Amino acid sequence: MSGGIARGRLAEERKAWRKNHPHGFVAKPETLPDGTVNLMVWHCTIPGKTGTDWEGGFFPLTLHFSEDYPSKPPKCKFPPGFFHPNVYPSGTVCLSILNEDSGWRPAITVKQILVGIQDLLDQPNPADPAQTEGYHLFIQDATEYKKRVRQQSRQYPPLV
Amino acid sequence: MEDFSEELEPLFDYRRVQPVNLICLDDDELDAPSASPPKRRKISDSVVEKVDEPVKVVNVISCEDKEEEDWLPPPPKVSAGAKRKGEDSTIMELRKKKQELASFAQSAENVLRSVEESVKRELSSSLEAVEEQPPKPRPERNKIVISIQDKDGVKQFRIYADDKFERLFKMYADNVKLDLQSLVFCFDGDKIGPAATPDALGMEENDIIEVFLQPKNLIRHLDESLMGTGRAFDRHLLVTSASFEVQRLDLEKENILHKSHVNVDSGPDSVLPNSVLH
Repeated sequence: MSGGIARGRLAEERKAWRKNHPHGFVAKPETLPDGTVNLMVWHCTIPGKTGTDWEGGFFPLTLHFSEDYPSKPPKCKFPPGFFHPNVYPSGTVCLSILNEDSGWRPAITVKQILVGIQDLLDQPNPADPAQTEGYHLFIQDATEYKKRVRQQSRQYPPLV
Repeated sequence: MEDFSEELEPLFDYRRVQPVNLICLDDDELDAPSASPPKRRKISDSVVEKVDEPVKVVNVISCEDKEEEDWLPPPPKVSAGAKRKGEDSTIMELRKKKQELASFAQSAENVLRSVEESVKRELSSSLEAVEEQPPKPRPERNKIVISIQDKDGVKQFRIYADDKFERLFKMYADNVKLDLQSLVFCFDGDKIGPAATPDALGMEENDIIEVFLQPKNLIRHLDESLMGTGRAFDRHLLVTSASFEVQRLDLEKENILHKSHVNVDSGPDSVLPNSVLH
């Protein structure tokens, strides 16, 4: 029953996204091999912010919505091993607004999620580390950290 | 109200007419010029039987209708008969005039119609010349508003939903004064080919196309003209200004937006692609 709510909301989100979204971002529900659309999984792209070491990268992110959405936030995943202090080795993003027990509110839109994650890329939260490598470099070796970030940005060029 | 006043007039006339035939002449003169309103006729019919002349004259213009009525009144007196011939000739003249006018009107109409047609033909041919793109203008082609979004904002275009995108792209490139070859258009993260159409991509009203500057062309461009100077440059300028010279001038005069310097650990060659991307 709540699934109806989730899908209805997601259909609205998609509709709104098509009419208006920030430049360089992509967010579209998954299309299954048989051509049907699965609203519960979205494939997104987050562009690295201009003027940062993330610039030039277009980072793939997948949103997994549950039947309890929007009561519960979607799980947001970069590819496994993504280099960032607040991304788990599995690729799952650790961010307060995506935490059901912390900052999540049902009114938060897909657009806000994606922009929030874009902000997080260049502004990691050292108080809430999710992987050791990114965290340690960020704390201890700024130069190496920068280098790694740039390297990763180059690793995700625009798809076109 | 006006009718009423008109009705009064014949009454007045008839009183004057009463005496003799002479009055008929007066009536002729009076009636012939006026366009003989039907009401007056009626009155004259019913009120004065003797005086059929005025009735006749009144009928002149709508002669066919009244022929029957002409039968009803008894043959007029001699004087009246003589007069009738004169009237007949005027009637004939009037008829001729009428026919002439009718034929003239007809010919005028023909002229108008032919002019209209030729104008239409000219218009359509000139229209075709102006926009060759819609080769077979179907009666109902859906139009759709598409937004093209770059870093600086959104421009809206109204295009045919079954029209190839290359036309829109060209229009956009002209609009922003950039080389079409350096632009990449994407819908939902996928590149749009010039032969695709909004219909084919399942696009809806107000859907957004994103436009990016193609990195490769841009880099070569920059390599050639900027590397020597070692000058700082700004990608925003690249997006917005028309010619490279303008960009350089702008750079010198004003420091707009964030600049990324060509330097850093990995050296200019490897840095450039990154800082210039899209």
